[in-house]
Amino acid sequence: MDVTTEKDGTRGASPGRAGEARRLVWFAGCVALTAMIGAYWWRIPAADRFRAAVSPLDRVAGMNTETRVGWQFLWQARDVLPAGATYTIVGSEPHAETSLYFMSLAVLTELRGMPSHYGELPVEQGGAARYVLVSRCSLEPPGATLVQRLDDGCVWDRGAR
Amino acid sequence: MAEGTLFFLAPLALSLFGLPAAWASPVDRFSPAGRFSAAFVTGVVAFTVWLTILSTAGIRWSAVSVVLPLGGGSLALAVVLARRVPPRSPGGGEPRTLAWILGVASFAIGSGHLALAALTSRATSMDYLYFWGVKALRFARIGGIDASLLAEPFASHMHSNYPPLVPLVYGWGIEVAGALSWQFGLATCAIWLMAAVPLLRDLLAMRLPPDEATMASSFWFLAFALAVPAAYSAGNAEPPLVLFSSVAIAALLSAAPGREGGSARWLALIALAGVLLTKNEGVIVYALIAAGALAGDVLGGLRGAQLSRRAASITIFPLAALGSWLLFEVLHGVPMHDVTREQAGELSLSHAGSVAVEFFRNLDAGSGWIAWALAVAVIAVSWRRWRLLLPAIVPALGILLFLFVYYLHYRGESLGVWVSWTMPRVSLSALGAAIVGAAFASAPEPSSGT
Repeated sequence: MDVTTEKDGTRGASPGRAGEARRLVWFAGCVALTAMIGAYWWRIPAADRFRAAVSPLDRVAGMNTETRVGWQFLWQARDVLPAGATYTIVGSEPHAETSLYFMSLAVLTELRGMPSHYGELPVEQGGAARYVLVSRCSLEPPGATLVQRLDDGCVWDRGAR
Repeated sequence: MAEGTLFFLAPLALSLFGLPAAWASPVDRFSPAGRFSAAFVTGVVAFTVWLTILSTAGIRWSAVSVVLPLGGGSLALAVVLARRVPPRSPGGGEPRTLAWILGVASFAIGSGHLALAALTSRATSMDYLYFWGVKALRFARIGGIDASLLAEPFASHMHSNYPPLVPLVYGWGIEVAGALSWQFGLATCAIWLMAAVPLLRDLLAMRLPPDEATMASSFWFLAFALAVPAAYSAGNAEPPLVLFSSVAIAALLSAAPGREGGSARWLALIALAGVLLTKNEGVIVYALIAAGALAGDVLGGLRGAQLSRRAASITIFPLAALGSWLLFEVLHGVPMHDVTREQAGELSLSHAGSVAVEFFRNLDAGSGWIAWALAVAVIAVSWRRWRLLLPAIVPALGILLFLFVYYLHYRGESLGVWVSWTMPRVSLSALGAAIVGAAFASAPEPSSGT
């Protein structure tokens, strides 16, 4: 590469011992980090190591199950709900419910989401939505008709609003 | 699969909009890969600013409004620059030294690790699913930045005032591939970091022997191949922020002390614009890098008009790029504030000890502290050259100090969870600054009289 022969006088000196030492330091660092990458994959059970992911949340550590399966639930619900309809999401607790609502904006792009909770705050708008997506079928919305029971939740219809 | 691969690779095509960078000095003497990287960095910034301007003016994005002017302008300017550059003498390319082979191997291992960790959902950022991808989908659908989405009452989790670079690049991928591939989108974290390597390597090679530059840039890449999955930052804005901030610092440090001829400072200004356009935290990163650069200038003896010119250039250009976004916010009613959990200044020193413990624990960066330890050790050994390294030392220390003070504001019961959730991610730019600084810290002293 030409740049290594710049005429700016910055690299005229012979590398000498100091240069060797510097190269050794970076080399040792690269070897150590490569070993860490090896250890990263070695720690994972062989059967699971390179298994394809079902969803972006499959293996995110520390995530609650409701959020983890929620992504798939939303994609299942996407095939059931009519475009343009309003929906809300009900979960077992406000934070998981809010998390599902956030993700629904990525998945249910042809529908209009109305949250029932935003963080810990209950939101009235959720009551006006026609369809209720109940994570893991944890409850039955009063006065609603079951549209479909899916693998990771149920879709309910409260009728035109 | 084909759609996903196309989405994954689509960002690289943005280099077409930054072609002039590949023919500007000193990048015109870089390796082909380094020149491509410079074009990529420049193209992403040009693309972001242009699309933001179009949205501000209410002009819908299309091939005519985006590709034609950006591509045409880029090509025309590149041709003008190329005609000014004397033809390169045919050379045999770079010798295939052991360091070169190790560099290629590190690149392959790091890229494979990043891509696999992302594709197998081991590095997913929730922000990618919560709002980066959502914004991209909406922006691509309407052919513009969707102010109505950003102004919705239930959109505060989207950080409506975040600059638009990341969703615009994803939106570009949607246009190219036809859809947002959620799984392959995660793997784009590898694209940002891979794109940085040859450019960092060539900037380092302006001051370091080629083999050393290759090894130092390989170390940078492997460090981030480990740190990004550990920070669950696949799909979010951290990988581009690391790219822009590291390139900016390397470009600032690449000029030999006292010699500005053939300086890559212009590339630093473009990369700093990228820092500002990526996310709000970029303002802090930018301010620290710029402060470090200016402090270095002052301590290096610059005064008067020369100092003013450098201060003006490092301020005006990046902030003008950010201005395109601020103008959009003002004219389209996008909230300009972000909801924060803490009130600035309401901090408590009572839990400083706990913060320090959690702080240290979360500097692990997926490498068992190796990345930080080596960078700090190399800088410490070269401590006499601290003035020359200020553009790296100030952001590295400044970001950590900012985080430490930020955590002193925490009032909840789950400090450990809060720090582990945020620090591995937010400290990535500091790690990049430290490694780049360490690489330049080991640069041989300039020889005299040439």
